[in-house]
Amino acid sequence: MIQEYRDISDHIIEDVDVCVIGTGAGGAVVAKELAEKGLDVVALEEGSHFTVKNFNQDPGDMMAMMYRDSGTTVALGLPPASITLGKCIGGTTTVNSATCFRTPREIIEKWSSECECNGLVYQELIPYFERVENEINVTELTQDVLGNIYQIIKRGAKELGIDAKPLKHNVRNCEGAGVCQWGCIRRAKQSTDVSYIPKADNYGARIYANCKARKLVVESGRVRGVEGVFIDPLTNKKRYRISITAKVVCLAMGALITPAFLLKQNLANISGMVGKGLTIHPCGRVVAEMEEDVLGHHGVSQGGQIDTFADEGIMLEGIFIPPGVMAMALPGVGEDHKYLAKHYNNLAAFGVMVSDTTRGRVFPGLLGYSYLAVYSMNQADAEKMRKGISHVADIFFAAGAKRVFSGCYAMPVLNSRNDLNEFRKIKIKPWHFEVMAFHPLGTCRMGNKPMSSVVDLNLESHEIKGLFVTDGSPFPTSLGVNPQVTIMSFATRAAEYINANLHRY
Amino acid sequence: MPYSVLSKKEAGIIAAMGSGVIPRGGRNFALGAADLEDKWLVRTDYLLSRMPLPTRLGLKLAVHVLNYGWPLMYFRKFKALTSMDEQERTELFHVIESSRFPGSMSILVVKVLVFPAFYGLAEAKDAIGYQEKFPNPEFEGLKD
Repeated sequence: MIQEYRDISDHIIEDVDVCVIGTGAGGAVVAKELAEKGLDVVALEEGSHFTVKNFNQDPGDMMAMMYRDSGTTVALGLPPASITLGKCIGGTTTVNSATCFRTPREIIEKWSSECECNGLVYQELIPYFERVENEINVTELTQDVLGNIYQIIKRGAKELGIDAKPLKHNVRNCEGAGVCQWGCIRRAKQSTDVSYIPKADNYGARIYANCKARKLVVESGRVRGVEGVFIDPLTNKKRYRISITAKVVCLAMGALITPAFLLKQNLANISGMVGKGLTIHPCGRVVAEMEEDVLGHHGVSQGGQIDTFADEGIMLEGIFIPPGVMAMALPGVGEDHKYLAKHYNNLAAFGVMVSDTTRGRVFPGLLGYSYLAVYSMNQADAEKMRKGISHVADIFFAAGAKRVFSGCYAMPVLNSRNDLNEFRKIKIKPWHFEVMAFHPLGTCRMGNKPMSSVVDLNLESHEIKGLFVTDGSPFPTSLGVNPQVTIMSFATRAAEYINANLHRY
Repeated sequence: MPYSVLSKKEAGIIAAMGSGVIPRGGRNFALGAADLEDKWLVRTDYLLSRMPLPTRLGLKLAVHVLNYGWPLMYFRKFKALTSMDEQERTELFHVIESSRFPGSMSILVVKVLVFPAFYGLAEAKDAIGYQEKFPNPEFEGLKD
């Protein structure tokens, strides 16, 4: 049973095998896997529990309801990067685009050979990928839900000799409602709130929503439990406390909040690496005005992909958004804006995702914020962004676009291929781009050596026995692809390790 | 209209900003932000109410500063945004958006406060011909 603030009427004391903090891709998996093995598990989630009964498809309302800080979370820097995070049962999996990739083999090999992760073998991860994909039903999207933007991209790409493919999503009976990021109204997306969490619940895990972890209890180098508090989501007032004694604690609050939580308590940081090494996959959005009716919102919001440039660190993936958010991304006020709004049904959009070499940093949050992140995209990544945008613009022009909006302040509108050629040559600085990011990773990196990494290859802290980090924080470099399957697979592997070694704690 | 976090003055400034970015009339659609002011301002108020206190206070302060700061900076006039007519506001926002620095990044504040709230309204969706693929018949209401 998921208990929320309103269900709690007194302070709670728990004595369990495992306490998991966070119910997104990392936390929900560990909770379910260990509860299924018969361990006594408690999971804490700061946000509320929402269902299809609360989803009205409106981005403004949904961001205010389900996103951390109403969707205003950012990494400070030049340019500032918007990094939206889910704050609800299911975490960011509830509000992501449902795109699934296995970790690329070359990334695992790179971690093993260059990032002090000796012993990590791709082949050994395959059973975990398969287990996760089976749980969340990863499947290739069918033509009927891909929508018109995919057809436009495919058409343009074909003209240029580039291959466009459908993405794989974690969905069951997807009908292409086009609102993946605002809560799936058809219950198709298998986010953890509809896949792992109900199973964890069935296996006896106790799940507390509106519950914020405040303190790790650590004694003699061993984790002993967690202190938390229930917070009224309406008033933010704290009322009842929860005190958990646990043999094992798994931190799965995401790569921005987990390190901030540890830094605030000065824990597990003998290496000095907690909070360092932040990668975010900076993303750009390219919008095209087409002659034809596109109705981009009548299909999955992220349907197609082009991985032709993946070796250069550039992935091109679909993205489409409702008018209120689209209008923010487009230039123009007054009649210029009204023209684009009126032609919303003629707009197509596609995204650029950069596998970043920039590294940012996370600090403890101030003034009530959960974290402070600093990240300034470097020139090399800005060039990749320009290149990715140019590729997408080229594809749109090949498909017959009237004009293309680049998302680059230096040249926001491209009216023709001549403009595109100029865009390829102009002097570009990182702050010329409007940057969004969706995949913070790397802030509690894993590795073999305690002096240069925070957790070992089983995701257990080098310093504090029984403390695991099972979100995206341990990954030493960016993945170049959407990370939810990677996070879930490593969490599954960590859960297996915890179960096999529980007697040690 | 009582708001939960916006003062009357702040609501007035945001309404003025809205009417500058989405003026009434024109050849595309007649509806302007001013026509539905009471409705979308309530939604902006809700969005703000869910933001962390420092973010909310920062935005509220920015609104007051920009009310006088933008006309002074870009038009060299000591005249509040709220005292301008719709056409003047639109012209001002054009100048800001096309300025070299900070350009469209600064106008984003206005867009964040106006667009998601305005385009969530049924009247605005109708005006631009937007229709969701499916309704959600199970929707019962928002939750805290």
